[in-house]
Amino acid sequence: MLSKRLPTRLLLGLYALLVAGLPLAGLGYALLGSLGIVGPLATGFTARHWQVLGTDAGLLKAALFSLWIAGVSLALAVGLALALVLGAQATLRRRPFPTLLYVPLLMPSLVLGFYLFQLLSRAGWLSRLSFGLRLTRGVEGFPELVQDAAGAGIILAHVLLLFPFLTLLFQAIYQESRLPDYAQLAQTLGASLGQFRWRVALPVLLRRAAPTVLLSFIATLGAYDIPLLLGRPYPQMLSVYIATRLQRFDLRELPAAYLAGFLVAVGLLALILVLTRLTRRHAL
Amino acid sequence: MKKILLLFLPTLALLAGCQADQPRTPQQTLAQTWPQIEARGKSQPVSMLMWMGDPLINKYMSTYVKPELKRRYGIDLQISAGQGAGLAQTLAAEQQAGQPSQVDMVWINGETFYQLRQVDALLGPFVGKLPNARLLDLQNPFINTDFQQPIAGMECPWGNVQFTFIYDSARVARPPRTWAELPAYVRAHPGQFTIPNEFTGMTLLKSWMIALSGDPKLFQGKFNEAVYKKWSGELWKQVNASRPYFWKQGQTFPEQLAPLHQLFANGEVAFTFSNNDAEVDNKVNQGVFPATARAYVPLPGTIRNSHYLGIVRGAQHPEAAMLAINFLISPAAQLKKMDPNVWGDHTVLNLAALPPAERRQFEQLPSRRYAPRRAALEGLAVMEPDPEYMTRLFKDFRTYVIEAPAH
Repeated sequence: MLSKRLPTRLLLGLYALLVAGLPLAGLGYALLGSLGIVGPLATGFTARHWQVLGTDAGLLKAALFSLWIAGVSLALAVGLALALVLGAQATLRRRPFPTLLYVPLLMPSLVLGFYLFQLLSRAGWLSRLSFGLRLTRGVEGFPELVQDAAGAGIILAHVLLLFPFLTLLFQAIYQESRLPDYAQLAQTLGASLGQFRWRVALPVLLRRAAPTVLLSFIATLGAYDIPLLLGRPYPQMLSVYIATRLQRFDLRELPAAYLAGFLVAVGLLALILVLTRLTRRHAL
Repeated sequence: MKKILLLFLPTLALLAGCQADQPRTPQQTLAQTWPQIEARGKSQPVSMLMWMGDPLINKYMSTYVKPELKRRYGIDLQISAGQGAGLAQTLAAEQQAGQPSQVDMVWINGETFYQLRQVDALLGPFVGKLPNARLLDLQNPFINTDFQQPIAGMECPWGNVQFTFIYDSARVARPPRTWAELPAYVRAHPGQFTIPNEFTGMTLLKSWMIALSGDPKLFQGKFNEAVYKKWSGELWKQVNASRPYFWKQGQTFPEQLAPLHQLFANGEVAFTFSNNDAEVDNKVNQGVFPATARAYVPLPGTIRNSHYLGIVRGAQHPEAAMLAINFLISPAAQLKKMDPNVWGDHTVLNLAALPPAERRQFEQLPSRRYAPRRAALEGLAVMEPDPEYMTRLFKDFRTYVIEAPAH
């Protein structure tokens, strides 16, 4: 009996170490690095890099830009997905649409970023087509759709990644929650289709999808591949900002990068806790 | 009990695998005679980290150097991408962990040399032990000094290059011939010019800053805070005054040289740059750049520097690395590399020290067609300043230009 339990406990312990222990150790190392205690050129305890935070707005700008990108991307993707699920059920059930929704899920984000760059950049395919049709007179005439100030290219890429996934998610919840039956029942009792959508379907879908939508938000917040390809050197999304600081020419900049990484990790964990608590409070 | 034992077996195997032979000390490695080094280095693998952003350089290494080393010494050269701060961090981490390095040889330049010496990651001095070292042009200050640091045998010169502007002569009738003309030119031709936010772009900024000062001697020797503040201030004034006329109104800058080359090839910008004065020839020959591309050095000059090969202190095959480096500075390898159709990288050898037949081979290489002749660049070369100037320019370019609001 004991011999059967022990391996299971040992495996669970190892798994916990892998999933929680190592990341926490990494966080600890980053914290120590930011205080000058560890690292290639560590010289001993110093609070200098933390003090510089007050004057260096780079990290804050990166955080705000990332929140903007993640917020808009998710809002658009959720909006589109809900519109499809609530407004186009017949189409969603008809072949080949279910299959088509799975196709983008196979595409790595780096590939999508590269594809959009080739498609939308000023020397890209659409620009050349536009030039050929005499709609624009040169590269300058084509609108700036990638590496632009508002991050339109980044947002578009993330919407294209999130929207099919969220559509499939909402559709599964729609069926699982038997909302078609509720629709029929509501209409029998005199409610309009619009009333059903706003008062019954929408709350059910959003509440049940909330944890997954939250995770999608966090994942978009930490995106790296797409903003690297489609973004500008300033402002940068958080992951690109941290990677840039880690790759500075000067090793003396490393503690500042450790600090940025530490703060972002802690910030994301805090954000997850807050948002999880919010969603749980309203959970069914 | 059997199950528990089975669980621990992989762990035991892993621990057993970690037991490695104690490496010889650097002193022991360097105390060997060349015949001993040759005997020990033969038929060994050598792992090399280098910048792999250029297909012709990669081709030179994989189709010429690698087979030659295998043929001559049985050395199996394994090349991986790695450079700059990432390289320094990797080697520093390996040192801190006290384990043998996964890397034997590194392709480096001044600021990486500086970082690696700070963390004591290089084996040496070793250059004096190489038989071909006698052929090196070590009297040349552009070769014996790396970003104001004497190389002191700690890294071996490999190639010598000079920063150049590359422009499309079909779109640019009269490029700015001097640094002083650049701001007016940029204002008169908006959208043609930009600065890559990386090593080559920093060489541009350094060259521009030194030109503004009018006195390159100010930048010799150790980093001087007052000199830097004064002339970088002048530089940012000029850059920010010109910025609205840069590509994309100066709101963004290419983060790597390769995307800038691509913009140039696409016709989105009319200028790109190279740290290698001969690069335009090989890019045109490859069909990457338009046939109308030309290169030149703005007056009064640009930075000329060398690039080098180092051996990692914790290298597992240091003798084989020495054999490889000795080959790379051989007349045959240097001649092949200097060919504009191969790489175009200028030799670091002292041609006067070569036998006449070999010297003639260098002199009779096919001429550059689009790049300036080396002879025309005499008097237009500026020494690399201390690495601190570059690290500061890189940081300040972000602070005062990239992140500053555009006017």
